[in-house]
Amino acid sequence: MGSDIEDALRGEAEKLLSKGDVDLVLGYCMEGDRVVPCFISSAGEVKRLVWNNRCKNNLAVYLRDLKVRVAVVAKGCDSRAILELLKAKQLERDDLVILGVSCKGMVDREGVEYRSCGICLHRNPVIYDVLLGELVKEKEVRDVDELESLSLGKRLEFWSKQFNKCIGCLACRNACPMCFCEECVLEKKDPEWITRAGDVSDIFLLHAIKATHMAGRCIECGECERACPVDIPLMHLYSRVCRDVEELFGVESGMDQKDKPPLAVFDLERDAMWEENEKNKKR
Amino acid sequence: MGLVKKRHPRIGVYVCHCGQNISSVVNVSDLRKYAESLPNVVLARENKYTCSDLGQSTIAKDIKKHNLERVVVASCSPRLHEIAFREVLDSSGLNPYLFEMVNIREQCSWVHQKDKNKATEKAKDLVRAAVARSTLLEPVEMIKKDVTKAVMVIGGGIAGITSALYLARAGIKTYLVEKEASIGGHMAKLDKTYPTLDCSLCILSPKMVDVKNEPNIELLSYSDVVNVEGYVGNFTVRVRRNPRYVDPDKCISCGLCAQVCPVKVVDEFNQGMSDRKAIHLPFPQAVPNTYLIDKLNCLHLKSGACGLCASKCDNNAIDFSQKEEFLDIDVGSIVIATGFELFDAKRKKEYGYGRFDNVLTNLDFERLLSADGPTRGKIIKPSDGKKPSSIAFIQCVGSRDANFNNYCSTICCMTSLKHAMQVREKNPQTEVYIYFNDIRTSGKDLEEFYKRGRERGIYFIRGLPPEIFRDPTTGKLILRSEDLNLDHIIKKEFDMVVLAAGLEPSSSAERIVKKLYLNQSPDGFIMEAHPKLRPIDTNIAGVYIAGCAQFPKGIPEVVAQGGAAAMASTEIVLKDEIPIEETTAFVDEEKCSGCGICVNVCPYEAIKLTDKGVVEINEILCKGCGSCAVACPSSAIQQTHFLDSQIKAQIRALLVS
Amino acid sequence: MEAINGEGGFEPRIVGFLCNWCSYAGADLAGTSRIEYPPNLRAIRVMCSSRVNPVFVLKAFQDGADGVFIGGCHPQDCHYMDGNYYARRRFMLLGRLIEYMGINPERLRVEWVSASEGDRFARIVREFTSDLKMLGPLDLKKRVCDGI
Repeated sequence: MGSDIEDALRGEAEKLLSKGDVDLVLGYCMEGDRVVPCFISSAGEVKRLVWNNRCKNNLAVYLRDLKVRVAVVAKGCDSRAILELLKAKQLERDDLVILGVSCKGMVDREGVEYRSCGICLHRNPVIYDVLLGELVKEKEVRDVDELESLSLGKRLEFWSKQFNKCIGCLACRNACPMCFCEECVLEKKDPEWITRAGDVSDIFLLHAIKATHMAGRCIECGECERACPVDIPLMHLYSRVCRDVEELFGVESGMDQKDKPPLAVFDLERDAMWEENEKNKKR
Repeated sequence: MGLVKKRHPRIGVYVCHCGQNISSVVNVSDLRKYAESLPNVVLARENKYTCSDLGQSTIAKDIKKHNLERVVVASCSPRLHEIAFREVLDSSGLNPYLFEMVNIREQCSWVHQKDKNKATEKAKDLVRAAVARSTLLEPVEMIKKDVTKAVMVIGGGIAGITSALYLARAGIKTYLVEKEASIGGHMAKLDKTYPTLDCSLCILSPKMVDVKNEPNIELLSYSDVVNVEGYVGNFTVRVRRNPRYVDPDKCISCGLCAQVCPVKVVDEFNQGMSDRKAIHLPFPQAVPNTYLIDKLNCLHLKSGACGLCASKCDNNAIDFSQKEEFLDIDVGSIVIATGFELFDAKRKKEYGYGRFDNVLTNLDFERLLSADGPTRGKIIKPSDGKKPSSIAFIQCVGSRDANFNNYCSTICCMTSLKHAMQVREKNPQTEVYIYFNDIRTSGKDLEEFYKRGRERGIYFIRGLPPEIFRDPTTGKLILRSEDLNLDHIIKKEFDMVVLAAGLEPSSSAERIVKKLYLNQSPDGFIMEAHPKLRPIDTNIAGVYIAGCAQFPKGIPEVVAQGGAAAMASTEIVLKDEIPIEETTAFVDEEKCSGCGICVNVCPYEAIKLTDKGVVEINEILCKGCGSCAVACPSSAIQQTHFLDSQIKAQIRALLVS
Repeated sequence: MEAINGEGGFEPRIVGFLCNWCSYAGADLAGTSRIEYPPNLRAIRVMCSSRVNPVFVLKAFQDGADGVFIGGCHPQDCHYMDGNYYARRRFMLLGRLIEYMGINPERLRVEWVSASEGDRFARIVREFTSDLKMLGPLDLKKRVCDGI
């Protein structure tokens, strides 16, 4: 199973490198007992590539500034990220060979499945040049978020406690394949929306602003939550945003390259209807 | 904090009393003292009327004497005088965008009269925010653009004709576009005009001929405006010339073609009360005086048969091969004179228009009275062709009516009075009643006209009948109504009833309104820029309105407005270049990551992704909405004069306690 | 629910972003018509409702606003054609986000007010002010910092 795919992967990588179709293969390797992303540049090194249930990293994040041809291993979430990056003109399709592979969920060092994998609706790659292994069955429906049952006040309390932990390291942003702005608005000085010398309300704003920017781009890979050094459960926030984008605007990010960014288009009838819904909900 | 440029511009603040309008609610001297205490404010004054000559020159003097670098005026709405104050800065050598206006009247003193303390507190907050914003204002370069020296007048009724003639005689190239085959509009359908009771076409026709002969007017009749693009000074209007199937240069209006045409249809000009042929002249005095073929009914155009007119015409003027032609016309400004449509009296079902033959509208009656109308000017009942012994006029049909239009259509009282006078003159034996709500006579000589009418024996009943009944045996129309003056119910029978139908905006204007993003008033007419001071400007620079397109009015007012619109449009086309929108968006290329999300949101196609992998904004096409600045996640795009930093400063300053 | 602090004393602070062509003009019309409404709203003029960045709203809440109002043109009447459609989408989404993070979405009110709707503008401010009085002060900074 896992090793079949591994063999297929190594075989494919060797073929591509020796024929000179790509300059690099981007995949996963072992480093001690950790699985890390790695670049292979010669056919002789392909044995370093592995495929197992610890390959969590979203490799799309490394593709952004490469100027060479790359073959990249892509799970469902990785492939969606690649698709979004193609839409945003951050990648050239011709420079990529996408080695798609279906994922059954990744686990951490203790063998516990990541939350983002538990709620994942797209285990199969949505775009690929080569499919390694077989497609798997997808989850049909989104899981319910336990925070939804909390009152407004309790939710504010929850997030305030979480944000009190935040050190503003922006690792969540750094790990995110979709955060590619030349100058991030969270670090801007003119004007300074988030001050480094601020209080927890600045952190609240930081996450709120990042969440609004992720709307339409986030593909729920969960790398942000994984990267957080103080274990803030960011996926609650981002899967909420993705759910809202799907419900309000009828579009799921990272699925179709022809889709336009949902906040850069409009649908008069649909939007009017949802506007009415939202207003009535509140009364 | 951080790396924001620290600037300490010298700010002057002017707090206006506006007579008592502000000072009766807001404590102006308190406000002035407060303004003086704000950071960077070097000078704070009170004025009785800052917009006056004295007020403006005080500012001008202060700028020079005190080296002011920013000016804040706390007074009325910026939508009123911002431009005037910016000019004061400009003429004093300061960039006009270093000016900020605080609205402490329309949005403060005038609406918080019950709580003076709170109003003053609010004014302080607003001034504080304006001072904070003005600290961050930057000079904006004025962009000038060449102007197309031509004007398009849309609508060839009396309003459009007036505008076009004034413009053309001032030496300006004018395009006059009219959707019907002839110019003249509704006035051409009128028999006489009030209060002078002179013949409508006799006064209109010479003007129509002037239009034809005026070399500076290019008349595009039987043409529709299909698209409008551009901006003040540089509009491009796409006009579709509909085919007449008759060559206007060859047609001599002899009428032989119409004699042999086998197709008879109702004549719209005579309100459907007579017939015409498929090939026809719109009306005898039409300009251009050319026949045209109605393609919906012409046998040859529908099925290739007939063609008798072509064989009969001695001049070979008939040309079935004509096609519609599209013209793209460049103009510097546009005058919209699309006029009105009559309220469809069928909608007021209780009055039986369309059910009862002898119920007519005022416009129908106009044709009946006309010497070249369907009855050659004889007043006869449509049902049997006999003279009516009694006629009733019912006012306010479709007007002043919550079910249809709330407004008063201005001209119907006088029109019905005019009709009633003409009836009494032609048939002194005929009883004439006018059922009314109020008789409105605001206009020169109109009250006297009303008096004359009453002296001619016309009965005026204050009270509108709710319904018209028809006696099936006699055919008479029965009206019951309250007589509010005499306090009883009266019931009368009439041979004929004329409904004074109101005026509604022309539906042909809809497309133009949408294309140009013109504001509409709640009643659907095109909205003027300011109800008192700018009744012919619209919210779109370079587009003007005249006549009933703006609101129902009588002919003298229409002509006055037509002339005014012509004059106003010259403020654009007599210049060689004009300044265009300055608060445009701009991109910092170093910050742009080339994702292209902004390209999608621009309604004017002003943003393009270039080969360099960054976007480029066309400042001529950009209209300054700022949508792109928000679409960009990294705020690489900013909007001049509405920078994020400026708005952030306003937010903070408004809320700081 | 947030702490109720309805009577005497609490005056909600509302920041309003009004678009120049419609809602700001509508607010001016309320003024020329001398329609009285509560003085709780402080307006910031923008050219179009689409200039209002969600971060402005968040900043306003952080700086102490109890409510934020965004006024634009009616759909299909935007002076810049599409601006209000984008604003509509952005703020529907922001409403949901702030609700998820614990801020009552009724504190963010988006209304389309035309230049001829002076009385409607006044009515909206009146309603919004009284709604916010019921909801009580937001005190976002304090509540987030104190973790409650």
